[in-house]
Amino acid sequence: MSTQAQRGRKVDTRNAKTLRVFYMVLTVIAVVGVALLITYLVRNQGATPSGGAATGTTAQISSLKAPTGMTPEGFYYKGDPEAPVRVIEYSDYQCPACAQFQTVLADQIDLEYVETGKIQFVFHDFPLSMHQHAVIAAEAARAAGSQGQFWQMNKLLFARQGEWASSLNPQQLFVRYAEELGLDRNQFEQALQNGTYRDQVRAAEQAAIQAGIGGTPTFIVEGRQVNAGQLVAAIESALAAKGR
Amino acid sequence: MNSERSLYPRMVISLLALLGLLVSGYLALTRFFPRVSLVCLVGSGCDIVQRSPWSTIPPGGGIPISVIGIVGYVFLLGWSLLALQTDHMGNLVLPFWFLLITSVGLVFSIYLFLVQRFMIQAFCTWCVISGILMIGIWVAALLDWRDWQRITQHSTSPSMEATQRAG
Repeated sequence: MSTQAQRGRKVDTRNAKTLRVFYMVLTVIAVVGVALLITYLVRNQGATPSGGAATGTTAQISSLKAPTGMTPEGFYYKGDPEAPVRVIEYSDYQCPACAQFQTVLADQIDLEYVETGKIQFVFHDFPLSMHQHAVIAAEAARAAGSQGQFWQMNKLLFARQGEWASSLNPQQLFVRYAEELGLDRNQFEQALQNGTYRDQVRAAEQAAIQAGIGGTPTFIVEGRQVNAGQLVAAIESALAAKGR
Repeated sequence: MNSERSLYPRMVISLLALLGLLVSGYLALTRFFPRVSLVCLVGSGCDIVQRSPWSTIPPGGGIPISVIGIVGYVFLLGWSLLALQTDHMGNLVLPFWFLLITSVGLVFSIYLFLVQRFMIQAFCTWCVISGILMIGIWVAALLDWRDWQRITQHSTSPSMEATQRAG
């Protein structure tokens, strides 16, 4: 009995010591780990969101409830086709001001006018010749559109403009965006490689030039040409004119 | 406490659970604070997986899996630390129930792996690491339980008293 108790006590002491060391090591790892996480959090608060911006963007994209589709002329729209006011945006995916419109105003327009059935918003591709990747970006948006995700890709392209505009291989990035949106990767990639939508984009470009559009973004509200700063006012007065 | 039973499986579990907790914490952090960028160790699948509809339970809008991971790992950590102090909670035999619970965790990790492989078709390094940690925890829980079995099965009358005293 005493031998057993003695043996038990000796092993217990050794165990107790091992445990003490172990708890110390565990605590150190825990403290270091948490400290790293907190440092990372604090240090990145002011950082420019790169992949971060898209988290919010993707979350917003999927919540568009208004009807979407394609006009007979072959341009994607969002909002009720029977809406009282029609707004057309001539836009270039690589144009910084166009991206700014997206970040600053587009969601508000969606919320206040598109989702409420007050306007039909139509996107006219107008890739400017000075922007190297503008055409392929417009193709990417249309390729996504063929899989039902035009507006999602449209938003994503503007949100990530900084990433792909300066890239040597934007196509690769577009394929990743397509994957993020859950598109069929092969179908999307094929469309870009074969230039399936290039003619449509070029045709849109020509149509914009012929319509006398000077730059991007340019908005046509019920036939009246305005810039982003005048857009909301123009929509409001157009709605008022129609008694809305 | 039964001094013949090795402490190592339980220590390993609490260490792995702590690491799992830090990994889940990091994933949750990058989800709720998008300004903290997710640094993918290998490849570029992290963003895709993190933003896919499969990143929640139920998929498409539910509880983020990183949050489930935090809760799970806190639970495993707490349990394993407790198990270093005692073998019984009332009538509950800790090693057995621990193996059962970690088996559930392992099945969940397998599910996440299959989702990445077949549904998202991209892998997030951190999720894979978490899965490996879970496998390690499960193996350690298995070893701990077998150790416990071995000890309690050797319990003939003399050491039965010791076991009862220790419990």
